[in-house]
Amino acid sequence: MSALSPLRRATQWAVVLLFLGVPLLNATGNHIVSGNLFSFSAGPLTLADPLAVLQACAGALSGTPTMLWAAGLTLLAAAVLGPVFCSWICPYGLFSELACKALRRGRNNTPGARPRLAFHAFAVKTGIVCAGFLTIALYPSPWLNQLSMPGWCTRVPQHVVLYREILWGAGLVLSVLTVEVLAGRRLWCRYICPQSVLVCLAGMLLPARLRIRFNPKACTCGKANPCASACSLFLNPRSGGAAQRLQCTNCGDCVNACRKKGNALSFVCGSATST
Amino acid sequence: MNFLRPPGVFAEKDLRARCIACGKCAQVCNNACIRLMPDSPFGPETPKVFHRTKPCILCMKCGEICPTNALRKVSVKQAGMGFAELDRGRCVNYRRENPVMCWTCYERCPLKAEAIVLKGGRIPAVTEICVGCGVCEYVCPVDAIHVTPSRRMKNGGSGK
Repeated sequence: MSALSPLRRATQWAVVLLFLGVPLLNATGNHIVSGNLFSFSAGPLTLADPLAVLQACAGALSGTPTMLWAAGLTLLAAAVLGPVFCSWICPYGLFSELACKALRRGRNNTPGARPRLAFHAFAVKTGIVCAGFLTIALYPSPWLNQLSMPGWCTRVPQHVVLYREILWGAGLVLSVLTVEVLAGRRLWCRYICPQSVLVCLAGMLLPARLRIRFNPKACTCGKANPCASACSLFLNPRSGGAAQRLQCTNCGDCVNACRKKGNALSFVCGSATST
Repeated sequence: MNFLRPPGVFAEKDLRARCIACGKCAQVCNNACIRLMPDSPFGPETPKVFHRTKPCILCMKCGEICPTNALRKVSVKQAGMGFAELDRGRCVNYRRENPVMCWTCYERCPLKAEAIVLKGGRIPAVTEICVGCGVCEYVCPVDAIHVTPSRRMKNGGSGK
């Protein structure tokens, strides 16, 4: 698993390039791939953002086999691999990571030492999702899509290529990134992102899935916290607590940090309980 | 300016509830006539056809790709976008004096000889088959034919 980190970064960039390339390819008359991160089609395969599909189902009070399949595949991936969408696919995740990483390197601070509010953060996100569905009950339309950073990151290039216009979401993405750079921490993914709620919950479905497991016997760090410092989402990989189980996106940054130390953190396919 | 909805829209409210703004309809459209635009200032974009700028050619690709049935997969004759009305006062075929044999709408209609027929083998007339794609309004040289959105499209579909 040692080569995972560059592979992950390469995948993230590939996704960014893919969604810049798809509208350009379509403009040449080739329609084999189309869509954005709300729903993406490649030949006969269709994938969809489960939250977008759930909103459409709630708004129309019905669903279609296509949309249920498309969202089901995404949720299945999250159930088996965890919320890897956030760490491997989401373009905003990439921008946010890069922005905060650059800053953290300069400041040399240790985010792992800060009080961990991961669980509260998840409650805030869930509240936003509930508020969204209340709005949908009154005015049926997928309103939570307007808070989708991966959505905006792929909708904006679509509109630039199709209509030579820039959507207001581009401003939203840039403002939130600016706030995150100023704050020096990732805020949107932790506190706001409604799309992450469903994929994180899907990751709790199966008793065993891809996880990062902590082996206390191998840990040599004591009070130092290189793994927690490495976590861009301010989780504590050593805790194995509910917040960690729910929100860890399997990015592997902590595993990398730990490799230089006692090698106590590793990717496993298993249950949440540490051995 | 009036706009139409792409083929296969069941009702305006249904479209707004189902459309997840994936934009695939606009990307696969053979005529690139689908414009994704929000219905409210900060609302999600939904597909519109501004037929006077670029009409729908009824390629029906949008309904095939739509994942959520906001645009349904329907046959050409079920497109249900609207209905064309011919203004006999403007149409040059209907002139009392110096009538001109202009068959532009008839020739360009995707449902030629069905939606627009030649009355008496000579004068264009719109029939009940018309699905309102907007091509006739786009091509008419004297602005004599106008497409209005489908009667099914309650609370909208008729422009700003």
